[in-house]
Amino acid sequence: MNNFLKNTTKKGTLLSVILAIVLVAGIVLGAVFGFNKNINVKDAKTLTVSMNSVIYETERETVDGICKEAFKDVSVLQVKDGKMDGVECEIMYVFDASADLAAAKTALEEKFAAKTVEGAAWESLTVTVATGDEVVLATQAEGYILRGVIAGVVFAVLALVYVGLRYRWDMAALVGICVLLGIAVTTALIASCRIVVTNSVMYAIAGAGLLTAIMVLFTMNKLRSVLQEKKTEENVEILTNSVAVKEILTTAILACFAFVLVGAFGGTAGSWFMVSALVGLAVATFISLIYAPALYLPFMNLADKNAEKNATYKGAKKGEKKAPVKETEEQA
Amino acid sequence: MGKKQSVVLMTILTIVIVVLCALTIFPTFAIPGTVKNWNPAVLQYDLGTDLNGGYYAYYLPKGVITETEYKDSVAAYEAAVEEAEADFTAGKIKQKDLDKIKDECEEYKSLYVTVDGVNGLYFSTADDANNDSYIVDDNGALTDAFKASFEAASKEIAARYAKKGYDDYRVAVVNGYSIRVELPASENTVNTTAEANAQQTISLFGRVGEFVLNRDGALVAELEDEDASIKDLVQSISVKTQYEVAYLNIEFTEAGREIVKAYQDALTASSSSSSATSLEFVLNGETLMSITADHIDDSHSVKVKYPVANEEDIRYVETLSILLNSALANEKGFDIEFENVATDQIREFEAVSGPNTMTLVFIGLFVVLVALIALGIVKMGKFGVVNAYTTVSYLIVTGLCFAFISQGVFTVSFGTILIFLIGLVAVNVFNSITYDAIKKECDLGKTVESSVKAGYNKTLGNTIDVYAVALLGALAFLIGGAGMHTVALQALICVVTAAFCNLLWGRFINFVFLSAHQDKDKYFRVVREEEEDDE
Repeated sequence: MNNFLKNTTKKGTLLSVILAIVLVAGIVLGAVFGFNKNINVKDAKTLTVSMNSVIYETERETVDGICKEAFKDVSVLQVKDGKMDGVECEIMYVFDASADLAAAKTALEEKFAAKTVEGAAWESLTVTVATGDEVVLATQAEGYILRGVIAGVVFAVLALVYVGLRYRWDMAALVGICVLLGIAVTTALIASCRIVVTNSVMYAIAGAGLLTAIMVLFTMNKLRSVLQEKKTEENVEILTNSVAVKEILTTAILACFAFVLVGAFGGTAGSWFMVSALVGLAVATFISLIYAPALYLPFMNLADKNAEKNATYKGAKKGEKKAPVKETEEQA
Repeated sequence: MGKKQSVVLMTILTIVIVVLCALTIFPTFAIPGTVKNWNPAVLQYDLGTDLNGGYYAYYLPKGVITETEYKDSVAAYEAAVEEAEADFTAGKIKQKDLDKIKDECEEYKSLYVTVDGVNGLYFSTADDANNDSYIVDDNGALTDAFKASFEAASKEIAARYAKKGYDDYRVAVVNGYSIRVELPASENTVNTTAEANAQQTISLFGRVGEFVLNRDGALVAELEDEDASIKDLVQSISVKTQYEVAYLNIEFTEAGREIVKAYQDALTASSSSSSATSLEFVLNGETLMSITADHIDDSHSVKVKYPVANEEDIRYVETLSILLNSALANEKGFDIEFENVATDQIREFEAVSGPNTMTLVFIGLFVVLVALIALGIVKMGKFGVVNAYTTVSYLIVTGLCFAFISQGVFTVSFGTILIFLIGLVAVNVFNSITYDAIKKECDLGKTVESSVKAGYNKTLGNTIDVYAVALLGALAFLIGGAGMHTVALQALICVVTAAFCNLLWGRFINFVFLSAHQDKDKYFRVVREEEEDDE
């Protein structure tokens, strides 16, 4: 691990280029295609089957079975059972905005018309089928994204100030940059990898910033203790030995385990959310374990240069009288 | 601390933690001898749409009906015609009665038409279909006035919901000329259910008429001019609280203050005469606020303080404020009216992933909790038990805080779960770091007591720094809107609780457990050189 970290610590420029490419790719893909939105937050088509609540309570599975048979050529993205207080209930099937529902609607109308003459619960009870083209007007609170971005920047600044006061200002700059990078790279990867998102993705992105700050601080704390002692090694060695590998990997592994388990139990929406959270965790781990030491190396080298400049020998000034040299007995 | 005292304290601690744990997470059961159920704290949460579903309803402009409604009505008319024909054949009714029923059926069929390019909706051809104007022109197409009014009104309605600050919601135009609104089932307050709140909000936000000020049932003179608007009289409407009451604070312009002052003087005069006088804020023909003398505050400049609800129902007052400010901004309203949405027209839906989504999430969290505790005991031995106690303490405090600092303030969403997990992992990681530090000190040959002290002191700075930065992060994210603000509040609780568990509570529990333990070296799995030599 040490050799690996030693190699990566020297490759700050390469790592910066890689991160820049990821960011640019995310920006471009995000600008061209936008995020891969969950159906809840984008245009959709719906097919609503309205029925008497008696049919709904007793024959819901039959209705659902008939509908699923009719939807062979179209993909159902969501099913919402709309229960009402009155005599009617409905089942709403949600499809992508490009789905063609005309054939499915006709087939269902024929099937349900045939059903109502079957007798028993279906007799003389109407089941109606209606389609809807939905164009989204609003799904986010006012200023949601802007305020989230401002909050992220404010967090980076606050972390920078705190670390600057507690540690050193070059470490503070590193933490601030890493937090912003954690947030930005996570966002870029979520856009590039077309991970399905809802408004909740902001929490995962914020979580990535938080985890990055926590993990980088592990290393900064260790590094500060090392730098307080007299330096006997090269900067690369110092940085490599100061990376809090155990703490960072323990945090990453435990968090990964927790996110995967909860995501597995959380249904489709929960799973996609935890995928976003895992991307954030991976970015935080990468930045804290590999990129932060590489980024800090130039800061350390610069600090050494400044220390050298300030440590020049100051010779005696002109005109200063030399102290008389006492003759020793031998010289005499 | 003596061994006996430590054992007693350990026992008390364990009992308290078990009881609180049961209070937090013990599953629901029917209480014997009663009709009530025991519900743990975790079932008191207000849940977001992903976890608990929500409500949806449709706004339809007056004069517009859905295809379903049209077909149902036509089917009902046709059934009535069939029945009338049968009765006529049987001699029960006369020809003119049959003709009347047939005419009504034909009239209804011709009243509503479909329009090219619009599916699923039928439009009235009557000349006063909507706000005293036509929807459909002579060519069977929608009038430009109706289209423009609908577009403007729908955007304004969407803006109202955006200002409301829901974590999860949806406003969409359906088939071009109706609106579907979807809200989370999470806005429970002390005095109203989530369903009632949803109905209230949907009903209020659908009002898009003219906002005016009436005096004695008629428009005030200052608004009679065509170019005059209520913005000339009212400056702002905001929500304030005082003495546990939430009220609307209405600030007036100079002209508005004169009207209120004149009304106040008239009220004083009317108390000694028989004539009554009224000042009302009216939206779309419906009086929303009727001002009395008690509402007028002239302590500094004249304004109206209109109490609406108890402070715990402030969400309703905020909804009203959003509606009135929107009406103020669009003072002339729109040339369109929407049908009122009744309670029985609101559809309730479950979480899309299924009704048991939250139960499954709880199971997942329980598995994570048990795994972390087990891992801690395997790795850290007896200190792992301390880790277990601090982990469970973290669960109890956060679980109870989320449940009881709630009632419409907190909505539990996937963001809540994420932040809870980060805090949970942090508690375990810092316990592990502390254990490693103590072990390191023990390996240097120090006694266990001084190793514990040194180990905690060496890790104190790092622990404080990480939690301080996490706290700053939670404070920064309070700037975020809607759900982000809620998750930030929850993050504050998680960070403070986790910090307490690691810095104070864990240390105390370790002190108690260590005091009770005879062989302190075994507690930290320390093998001394003398023991090795003996072997």
